[in-house]
Amino acid sequence: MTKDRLTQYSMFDLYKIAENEGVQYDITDGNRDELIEKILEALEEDKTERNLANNDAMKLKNTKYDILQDYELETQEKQNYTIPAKYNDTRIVLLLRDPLWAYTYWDINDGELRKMKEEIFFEGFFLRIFELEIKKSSKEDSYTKDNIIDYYDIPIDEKDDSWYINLGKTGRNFGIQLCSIMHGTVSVLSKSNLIKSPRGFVAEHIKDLSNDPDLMTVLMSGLWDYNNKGENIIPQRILSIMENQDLTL
Amino acid sequence: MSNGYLGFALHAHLPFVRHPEYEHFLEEDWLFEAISETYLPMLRMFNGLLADKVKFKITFSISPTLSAMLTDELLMTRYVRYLKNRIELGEKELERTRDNNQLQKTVNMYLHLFRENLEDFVITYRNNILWGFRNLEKEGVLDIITTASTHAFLPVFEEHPQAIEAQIQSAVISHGRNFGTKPRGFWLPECGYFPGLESCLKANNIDYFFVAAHGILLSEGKPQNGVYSPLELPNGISAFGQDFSLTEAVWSSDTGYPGDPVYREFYRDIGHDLPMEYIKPYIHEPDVRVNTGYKYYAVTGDTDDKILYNSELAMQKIDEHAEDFIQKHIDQAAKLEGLMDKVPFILTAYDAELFGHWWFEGIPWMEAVIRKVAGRENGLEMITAGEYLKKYPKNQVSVPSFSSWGNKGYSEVWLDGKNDWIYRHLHKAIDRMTELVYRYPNESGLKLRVLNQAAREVLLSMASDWPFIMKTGTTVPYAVKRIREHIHNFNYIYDNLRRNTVDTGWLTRIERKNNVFPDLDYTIFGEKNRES
Repeated sequence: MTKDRLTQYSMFDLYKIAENEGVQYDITDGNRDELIEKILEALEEDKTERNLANNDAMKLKNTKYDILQDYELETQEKQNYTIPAKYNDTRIVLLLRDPLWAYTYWDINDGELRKMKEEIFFEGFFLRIFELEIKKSSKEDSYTKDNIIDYYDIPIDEKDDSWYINLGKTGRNFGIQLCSIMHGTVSVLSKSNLIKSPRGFVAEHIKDLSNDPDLMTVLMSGLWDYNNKGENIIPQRILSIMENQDLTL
Repeated sequence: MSNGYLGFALHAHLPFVRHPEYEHFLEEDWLFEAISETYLPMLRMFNGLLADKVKFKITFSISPTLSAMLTDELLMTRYVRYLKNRIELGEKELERTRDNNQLQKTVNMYLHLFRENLEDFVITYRNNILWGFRNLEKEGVLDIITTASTHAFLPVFEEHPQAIEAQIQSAVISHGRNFGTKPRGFWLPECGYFPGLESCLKANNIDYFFVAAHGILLSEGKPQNGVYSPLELPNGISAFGQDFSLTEAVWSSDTGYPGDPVYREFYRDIGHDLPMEYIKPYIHEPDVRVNTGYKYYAVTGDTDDKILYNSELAMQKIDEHAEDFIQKHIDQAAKLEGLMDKVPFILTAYDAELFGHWWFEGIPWMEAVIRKVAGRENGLEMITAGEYLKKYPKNQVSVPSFSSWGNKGYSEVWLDGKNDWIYRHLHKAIDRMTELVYRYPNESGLKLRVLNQAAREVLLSMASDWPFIMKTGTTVPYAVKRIREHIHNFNYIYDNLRRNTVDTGWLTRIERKNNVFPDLDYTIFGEKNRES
């Protein structure tokens, strides 16, 4: 966005853009030029951040939608659509994001929540993250003693409704339970679906193939022209393997 | 004798954007730009090759939402209006730039493009360019495949197999309606794969799909041929992996071909550069500057001081880059010689809109590659993924890893602090849709219309484009509104059904607006459908 374009906005719109971009301003100040400069700075930082956060495929894809090349303050579509903030049921869901991170969101039924909070011994909520060994195919009994390898807890606030979890290990099964604690007693409010983080390393393959460089080259196929400029292109785990094995060229 | 097979896979997709309630709608230009700069020029290029009897084969994915828009009367009428507006602008530009020979050449180039587009669109294709693609498939040069019906990024719906089934099944049905064939291949949106997805593909008679390179490299078994031959999954369908370096040669804005200084600069457009009073009739109201397609500068380098575009210089560079691309394939095939028990399949896969729209010279570059491969004895041959499977039906059995072609290779683009809020709504809508199928398994009349529209709204809400836009920051308010719209519409239907009421006027209005997949059957969201 150019300075020229920003100067065409009303002060009201500039304040809105400033808010969207997290720019601090003093509404009593009214210094238009200064506000525009701050917004431009924030937009430039945002652009740099987005560029770094996307690989080439995603940057190119973005050009399909980039007809404005400008800040879209609001869409042309004026209709307002209301959607609920939550659905008033108690449940927790777990989504795998990458080999080491997962995202979880949850809801607690209003009635249940009220009841718990009325209890004098109510202490709070927490998430219990399980690493599991799935011995049976049925998901229903996955949280049995036999299956649990390890677990740890993350305390949460009543206002929280989602969290990113660092799984810490690849190639393992994980599940989460939404729990409350009352007078030292833990109650499970909801159990999540299970996820399996993929193996993030080909290390065992590299080890197997270390005496067979040709085969290893084929295994890493298409990567041998890679140079160190493209950290965002290749998953970090493959990158580290390539560097450790001196496969960069 | 071939030393290597060159596999091009192109994926054409845009989300369903259609706003009959507005005379002009900004985001409809996404489609109009893609038709003008990619789809029509590509059709001309393919037909030119066919006319010259040049041998070539390409796997071409066309998304169901794109097909729906390309056959929509309202949008196609608006496209003709768009073209006429661009031609009028070009004629005005000829007058404005009359003292500058270099600019005149470039203006004429665009004017010719838009005039040719208008003629082809209205006269040759009678407002339906899908016929052009369909004809190329009949001629045996394209293998048209499909993708998830609204392009949902499937790994985030792993726990909702009924929704994945709905995405795949409705895509296959839509493909049959548009192309008269059953697709053998499936383009996973954003190459998003998770182990287990193949069961839904198999249930819909899909033979193969594509994954990112690391999906193959990190597969369960030792991938003996790397990405150069497909993996056969235990259920019999195949996964092809993409060659990293060759794909990158075209993608990379730093080191790839499109970043060459002589090529056309995408971001300098007269819609943003010329005075408002002049450009006003060719942008959006009220005074919203947009791309017009008239771009006069070359990439030049990392500077704002761009030089004027010279198409002759660009054409010379195309030849050089086509040679380089082919040589890279030859080198790759030579490295693999003796290491594989079959001829390697070197797959490069791209979004189709990269060519022509972003990389203006991309289509003549592709043509040069095809002509050079076909015209020489260089050990390379173009074939499709489907043809490779016919030559080599037996491949190493293994399961690819969870992967995508997004940033860092997994779900990070579509599951991020900027867009993660949508999933509680999407998952809930899917659960509720399944509940509706259970409650109303066999409806007719008005209730059938209501339920089908509910299914349509759920599918539309699942599009990967909206979280992608929220993450990458282009037209975010529109993406947010689209998610809210479809969730709102679905919830309104759900609540009405619980009260056993139907708002007929509202339903008719929504059916007319979000009219994608007219023959959609809501029961595809049922658990029963999944089991069968």
